[in-house]
Amino acid sequence: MPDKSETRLVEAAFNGDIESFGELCRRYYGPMVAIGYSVLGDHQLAEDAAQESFARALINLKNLRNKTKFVPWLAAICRNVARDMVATKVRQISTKDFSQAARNNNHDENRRLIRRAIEQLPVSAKELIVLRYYNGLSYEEISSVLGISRPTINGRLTRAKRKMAKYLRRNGFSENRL
Amino acid sequence: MNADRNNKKLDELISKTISRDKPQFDFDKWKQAHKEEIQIYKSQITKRQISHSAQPLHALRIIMKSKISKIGTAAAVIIAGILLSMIVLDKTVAPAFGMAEVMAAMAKAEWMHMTWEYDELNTGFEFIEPEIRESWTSVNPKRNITVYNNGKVNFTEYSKDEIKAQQYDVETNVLTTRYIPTSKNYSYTTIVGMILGDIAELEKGGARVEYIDSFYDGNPAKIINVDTVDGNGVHYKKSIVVDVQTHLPKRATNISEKPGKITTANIIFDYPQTGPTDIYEAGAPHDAEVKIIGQRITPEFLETIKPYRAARESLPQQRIVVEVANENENHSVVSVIYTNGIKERFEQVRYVKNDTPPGTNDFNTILDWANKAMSDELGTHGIQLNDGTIVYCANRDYFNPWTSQKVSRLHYRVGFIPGGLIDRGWPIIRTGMFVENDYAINNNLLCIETTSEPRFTGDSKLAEAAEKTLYYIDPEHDYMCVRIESFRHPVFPPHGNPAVNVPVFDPIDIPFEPYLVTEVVQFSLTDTGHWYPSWIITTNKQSWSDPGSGWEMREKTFDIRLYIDTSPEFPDSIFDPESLPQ
Repeated sequence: MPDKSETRLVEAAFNGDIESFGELCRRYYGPMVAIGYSVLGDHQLAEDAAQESFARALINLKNLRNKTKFVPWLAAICRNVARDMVATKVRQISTKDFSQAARNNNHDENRRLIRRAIEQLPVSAKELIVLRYYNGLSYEEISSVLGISRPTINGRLTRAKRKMAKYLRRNGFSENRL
Repeated sequence: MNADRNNKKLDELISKTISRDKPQFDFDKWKQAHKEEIQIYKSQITKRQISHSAQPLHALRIIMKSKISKIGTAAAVIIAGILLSMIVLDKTVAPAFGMAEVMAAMAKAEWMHMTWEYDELNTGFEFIEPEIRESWTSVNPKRNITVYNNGKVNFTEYSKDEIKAQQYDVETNVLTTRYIPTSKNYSYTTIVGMILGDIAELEKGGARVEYIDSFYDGNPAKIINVDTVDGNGVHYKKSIVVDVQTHLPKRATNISEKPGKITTANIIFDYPQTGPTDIYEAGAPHDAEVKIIGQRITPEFLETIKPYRAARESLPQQRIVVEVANENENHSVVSVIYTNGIKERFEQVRYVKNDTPPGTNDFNTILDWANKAMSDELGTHGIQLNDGTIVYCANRDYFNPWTSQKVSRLHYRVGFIPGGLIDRGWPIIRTGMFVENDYAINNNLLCIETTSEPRFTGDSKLAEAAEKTLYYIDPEHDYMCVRIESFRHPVFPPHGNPAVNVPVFDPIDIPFEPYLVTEVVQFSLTDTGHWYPSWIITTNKQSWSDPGSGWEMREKTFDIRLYIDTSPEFPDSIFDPESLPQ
């Protein structure tokens, strides 16, 4: 659940206080960049996506019916902006960029495989992994961003990691390294 | 194994791989870069403050929703009735009115907006979409936008190589975008050109179209009637009224009927300067969950595939292809394909025998042998003629007599009739992604990966599972496709069973082993100097129907030999439907 100050900030922004909107942006910039990164696989583009999603959110704030759902709403916009960027900027980002990253770190086979294992995950699981490990969000923070409960997050993270482990084993990652 | 230990190790590995310092946000800098959005936001706030003093208008809107709308619907019934009676009664007294004038009047119109009203007595179809509230059509680019009364929005945009079909589902708050490759040209310069183009398509598919001189609102009018039945047996009657004063289509009726079911819609046209240019402008909310299905055609892909397409285009159009396939060494399938680039004649016989053509390179000897097999062997025979629009078929099983039928080509997918070289060496690849893998690198080949989503029948049964296909292209041999690997999403039980939870294409669920591999194992050169695949081996591992045990996994191997004459002479009469056996 969002705290009172957050709801007050959303109300104030809704009523025309741009600085309150700025405070919300500052609070959720990190999680939005993580969401962007889960789609784009590129740090710079992920920051662009987060900033663009703030712009879209500002002009669509009038349509936000439930003020307590501001962050999941913002996250949905950010997800869509990032996907639009994949489509319109015609970057074969997903697998290609992860492989590119791998080529840059040839000596680190572990990282290459881990990146691939993340890339192979279904979209929602990939997003959850990135939110958790990209800049270390707590379960509480993830819950606020995605609008889902902590036990659900726990279950989904466990399943995602199980899938990753399965992929890693299948691709020669030895058992004792897991 | 200890699960906690595993989790910790994996946690560390993931953190080391992707973790970053928390990024810092500079709001002042952001404001500088987004002045336009801030301006829009401020003007929205101002408008909202003004609208607070306009409460009576809101009350009026509520009244309109409840009573006036009912009156409007009743009026629509009357208008529809008038339209229909005009069409029936005034045929003989209307003055002549040329379509050329309508086209001239519409030459500049790029947007058409339609407001829909429904007959209150509609009984509806369970499989027909909810009622439409309004729709738009545009040219440059062609777009069809439909907004339904329940909040659903469809937005389709056509371009040279692909169709972008978007659908917003209000119940799930999901916006699905599908990218569908196409080779059809959808470029229209005027609305009227597009309407007439669409009518011509319907006419080709068997619709009855008539142009009637009549009256509308006391003035001379032109009425276009379209009468057609779709694949579900629904009878559609459309009437478009063109106003003689403005020379623009003004109203139309759409009647859809099936025994016991009828829906009548009355449509009012207007021609705005512009309309919604994306699905959000048409009403889809920005916070809808977005799902993207299908691969986009990228400029990079189009550029890289150019030589492959050029090689495909340069194949001689006039040719005869003989194809001899042996299936697991106990069935033979002999096919002969004649084509002049526009028309095609395809003959085939399938019989129980391991047969091989004579060991010679002389094409005429091979063709004579194939024709003898067509006439002498006992099995299943088929002949298909395609004149570019209509496909004529004749079939015979063993001792049964020939049966024939005529079908519109519109009912068939492209490539229904195997075009010899087209399906064997240069398959149609409309979209995809160039990838690198060991096989491609070791054999100096280009590799294209394509993916396809599952396809369902009208009653939600799985018709085709999601697939991934790898095409290996050989630049050294006229960019021939020398190997195709197909991977199918595991779906069990297979074929035709209800599959409610079949997911869309997901790379992790695609197996590592292909179920179908087609490989060119020998190349030859035609007389005109083109490489072609003269020997192909296809291996197919999948579940096959077995009358005794139900479904079982089997491996089938097809050994295919191709013989080609690229400068043949044959009479045009072989494409005549009269030449089919009766």
